[in-house]
Amino acid sequence: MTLTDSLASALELDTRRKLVAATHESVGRAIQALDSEIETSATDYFNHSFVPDLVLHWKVKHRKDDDDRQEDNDRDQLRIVEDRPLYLRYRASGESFAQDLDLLRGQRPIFLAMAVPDAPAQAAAAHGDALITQSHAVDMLIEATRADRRVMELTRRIVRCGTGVLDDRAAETVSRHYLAALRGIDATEVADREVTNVVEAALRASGQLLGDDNAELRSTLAPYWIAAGRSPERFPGQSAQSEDDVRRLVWQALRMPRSSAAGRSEQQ
Amino acid sequence: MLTRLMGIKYSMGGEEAHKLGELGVKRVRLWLDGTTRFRIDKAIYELGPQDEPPMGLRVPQIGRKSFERFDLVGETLDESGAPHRSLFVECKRYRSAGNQAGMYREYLVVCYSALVSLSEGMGGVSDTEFMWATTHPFAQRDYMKLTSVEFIQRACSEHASRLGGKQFDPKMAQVLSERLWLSIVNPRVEEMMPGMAIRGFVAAKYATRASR
Repeated sequence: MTLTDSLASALELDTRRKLVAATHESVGRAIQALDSEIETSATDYFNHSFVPDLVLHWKVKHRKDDDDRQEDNDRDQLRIVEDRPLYLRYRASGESFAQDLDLLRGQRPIFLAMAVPDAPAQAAAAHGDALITQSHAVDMLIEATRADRRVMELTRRIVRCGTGVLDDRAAETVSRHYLAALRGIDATEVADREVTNVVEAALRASGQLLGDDNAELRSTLAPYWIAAGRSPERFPGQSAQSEDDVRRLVWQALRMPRSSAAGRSEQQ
Repeated sequence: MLTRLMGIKYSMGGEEAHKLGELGVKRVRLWLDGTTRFRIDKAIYELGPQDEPPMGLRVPQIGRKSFERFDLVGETLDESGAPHRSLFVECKRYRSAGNQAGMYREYLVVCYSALVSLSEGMGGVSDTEFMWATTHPFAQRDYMKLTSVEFIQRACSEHASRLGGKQFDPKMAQVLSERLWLSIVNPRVEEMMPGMAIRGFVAAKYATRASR
């Protein structure tokens, strides 16, 4: 069942307790389909002015300074927890929603419109650090991750760092371009120059939502590029990287799961 | 002059009028949420796929197949933040006392009728409270009595047709009188609400509680 369908069913429930539990569970499940390493916590608040419905938590690796790292060896990477609040809304448009954007500015909120294929673009100009999305758009991204599990590199970053308006059109565009980039990289018979154009188109689309964090998404494509037998030096945007970085990328490519290679063989 | 903000049928207007009142209703909502003793889940301006308000804003009425709709629905919270009772809120914007006293009496009958209807078949009294939130005071001579049993009874006599021939129950009126909120919402209410930093702190605390 899609998120849109499960939310429509949940919103029909006759008691608050059932409605809140069902909506939070549906949204939590959908978020985890976009980012399998994320944990969600529900607050028992629903559609509240400033208490989020859900809080998304994830652990990130944090490198200590080089000097310390020499001494700590294996303990050089600390696990720290980051989080992001998610607010459910019936619609992500209109005068009252504009107030929400203003009130919650600075918290990096995600606003998820539940009820309708809305047109949140009206609020786009004032989105600030918010990601404004809707259930249909989330469904589209989930569908793309099912088509190719590697799309989760994209969806994970959208959930954690994305800002701006992710409506149906944006979700379709960003997922279609990213899938095309992955398939282009896998297709070894296609020349690097042509694949570069496809990759750059995908990164332009994701850049609308990821901003500075788009560079990290670019780096996640490099191992796939190398694993497909393409030259590291020809990876789009690679020229700025050091030899160490290239060595690291090759190492990542060698460690990639066999299932990815099998998938590429089938496509060829 | 009355600006309609609500769905109870004694008021005039349609969906267009709801939109006119969106920011007014939102202001009341922000104030109630900001107290942390209420939490509002749904508002009449939040329209669904067919441009209909969300479910849950309506209350049944005695002997009538129709319902009455409020502007906001949520819950009252106890001192520890635990949910206590459901809350239905009627929002009014007046620039003078106007005809508010008459509207309020009819509202009381709607509340009484809803409490009786919701309680029927439950084997007890429904856990429901009601609030009249207005921008202007009214009936100042009677102000201290506006939530009394006697005032509810007088309103029910005046609008007996709304009770479908059912006899007035003083015990239910007593319960209702203890569950009525009458709030004057100052136009400067934004200045009475916790600021962004406090709201962020409260939200973070709830988020921490949720993650345990």
